[in-house]
Amino acid sequence: MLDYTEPERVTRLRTELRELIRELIPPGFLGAFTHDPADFELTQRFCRELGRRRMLTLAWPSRYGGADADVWEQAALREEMWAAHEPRGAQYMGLNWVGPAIMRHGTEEQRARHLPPIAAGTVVWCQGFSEPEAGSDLPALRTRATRVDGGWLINGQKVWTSYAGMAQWCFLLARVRAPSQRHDGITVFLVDMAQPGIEVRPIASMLGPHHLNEVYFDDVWVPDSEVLGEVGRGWAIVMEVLRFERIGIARYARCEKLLRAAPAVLGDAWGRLPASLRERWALALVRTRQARLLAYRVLANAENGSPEPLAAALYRIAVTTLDQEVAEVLMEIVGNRGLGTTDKQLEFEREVEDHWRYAQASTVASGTLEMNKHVVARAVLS
Amino acid sequence: MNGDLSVEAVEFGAVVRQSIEAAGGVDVLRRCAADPAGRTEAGAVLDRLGLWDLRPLDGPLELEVAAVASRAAGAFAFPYPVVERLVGNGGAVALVAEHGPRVVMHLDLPLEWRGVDLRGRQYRVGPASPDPLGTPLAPFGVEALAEPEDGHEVRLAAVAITLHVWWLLGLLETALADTVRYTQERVQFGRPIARFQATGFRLADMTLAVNGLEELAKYTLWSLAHEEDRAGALVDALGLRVAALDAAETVLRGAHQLHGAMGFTNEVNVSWLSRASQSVRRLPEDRQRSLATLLDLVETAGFAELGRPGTARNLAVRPRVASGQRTVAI
Repeated sequence: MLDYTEPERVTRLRTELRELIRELIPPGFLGAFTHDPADFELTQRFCRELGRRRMLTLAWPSRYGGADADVWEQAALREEMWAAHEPRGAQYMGLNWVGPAIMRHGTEEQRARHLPPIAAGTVVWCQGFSEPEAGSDLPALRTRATRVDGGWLINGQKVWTSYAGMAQWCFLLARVRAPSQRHDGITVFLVDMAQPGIEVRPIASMLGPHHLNEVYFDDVWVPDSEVLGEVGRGWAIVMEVLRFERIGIARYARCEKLLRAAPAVLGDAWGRLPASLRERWALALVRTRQARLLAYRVLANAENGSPEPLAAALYRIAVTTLDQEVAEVLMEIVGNRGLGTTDKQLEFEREVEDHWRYAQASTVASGTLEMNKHVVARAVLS
Repeated sequence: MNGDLSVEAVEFGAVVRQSIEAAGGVDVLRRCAADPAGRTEAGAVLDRLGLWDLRPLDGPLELEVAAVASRAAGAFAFPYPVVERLVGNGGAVALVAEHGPRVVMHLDLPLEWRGVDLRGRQYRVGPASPDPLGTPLAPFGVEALAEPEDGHEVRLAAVAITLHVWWLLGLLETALADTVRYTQERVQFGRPIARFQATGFRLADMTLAVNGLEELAKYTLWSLAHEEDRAGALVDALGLRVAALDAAETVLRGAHQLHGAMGFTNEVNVSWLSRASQSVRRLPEDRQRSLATLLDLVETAGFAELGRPGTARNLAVRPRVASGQRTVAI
């Protein structure tokens, strides 16, 4: 029989996280990726506190210092964090999929070297996937790894690499040979960003600082010990990683938080909004619930050990388009204030403006809307 | 968390489906449109299954069974007041508009009718004329007289609204499946039109509409069975209704477009499904009026957090009042 009751342990976790956020994150916080270095430092302090409570690695297996949380606790953690502008900063990438990929495919030595700093929240990873000629068509990547004594030399260029300027490590894809097939020869390298030959160039954008970078690799040396999995067979790892990313950010959670907050923030002005706008607001609440339910179907499939690409693609389409739809509704609710304000007291309006800018990328990042529609069409017509 | 319907419900739904298929499927609708008297015979198909003994307001299992039965009937746009009788407790409950003119489907059939509007207000109802409209969009629609009564049956309204959506869900699933099949069969420019990306993307939109509606419909069933705040349950049902009307627009607009001219003909089921969907999409109130009611209720009753019954009030913008035209009496 149907049962959507939130388990008590999940409600307890939410309560603890909300209290922690209230205690440690000041109002008006808009995430780690701002021009103010204090925001990044704040996320580091927050991560240390989460680490102290063993909540940073909640999702990890206990043998790697985690808490064996089930998919619902993991979802609650993702939701509460995203709703609060991700106070873990860039850590979520290391925690959500770099760490788990190293657990599954790494050597004992790699696990010992990389997992503790990820678990402690003291390292930032970036993802070296996209290239100028390899966006949605990721297997078209050209970055080369050439065999040398004891390791590899990396040459090539990555682009759109988030957090590259603050990252200490990069989860990099490169080719070790000319491909006989498109997926052949792709290898995962764990690259120390302090190596000579790496140049990070920030790309100024409407999304804000740190989100987009170019990264150039010029004869960057990587030892054999930092190849993840088998040489030339990294595509399977990529596919697994992308599956983690498909559920990735709980965008619906921030949408819901902002929608719920709107009437109280506006106070008497709420009733003066056009009825048609308030109707869109009410409908957006319903759509937020729908997107969450589609996410939960993906999670239920994962829990049953039967991941379904169709369900994941449907969820991705729903949640990314929701993000943009809600961004528009909220912008209209706050009116001219949505253009930005220097008044730091106008916290909600600043959140709405920040959310709108970031939401513009939702149907592009981590698999475009078109790629997801393609997956759905192929599944439906197969 | 469990998003699977009970085995009993699924099995019963399959039996209803088989029975309607055996009676002719969508052809029953074709026959009854030509001769509305055929609806009595159609109803007899369901009489034999004991459908009217269900009491969907009495518990979650009966509610699930009633939902899948409604979905099975909707899959063929079965021309009989299935939902109306499922919630009728021996009679039939019509959803009626707050203001006239009012149309109620099948109100000419001799059943113990009573009415309730989208806010749960009760009405005495009866046909304004003895014969159905017989129009292309509402062959079984009957102009209705409705007299408001003092009481409110908020939970009854919520369940009726929700089961009508399950009926529409079944219809949309059929329309989608028919359209997928047609795009694989129809050849243009030397290949099935399914192989054009524009077709694939349209089918993706339709698939999302159906899947998103199904997940919300399941959730709302659960919510109705567990939400003790009746106004909160009605908000959930109305939210589902508006989402369903949007899904219907996406699915049936796509179904028509991808079927081309063929989709308008009486030969093709999509043509009948599209017309039959109007009964839920326009009655008792259309999308815009349903949305206005939803807003009014969300602002007074709130909107619960998912999986956490009783949290609706946290969002209420306006205080509730004990009775009145604009708010639900609790």
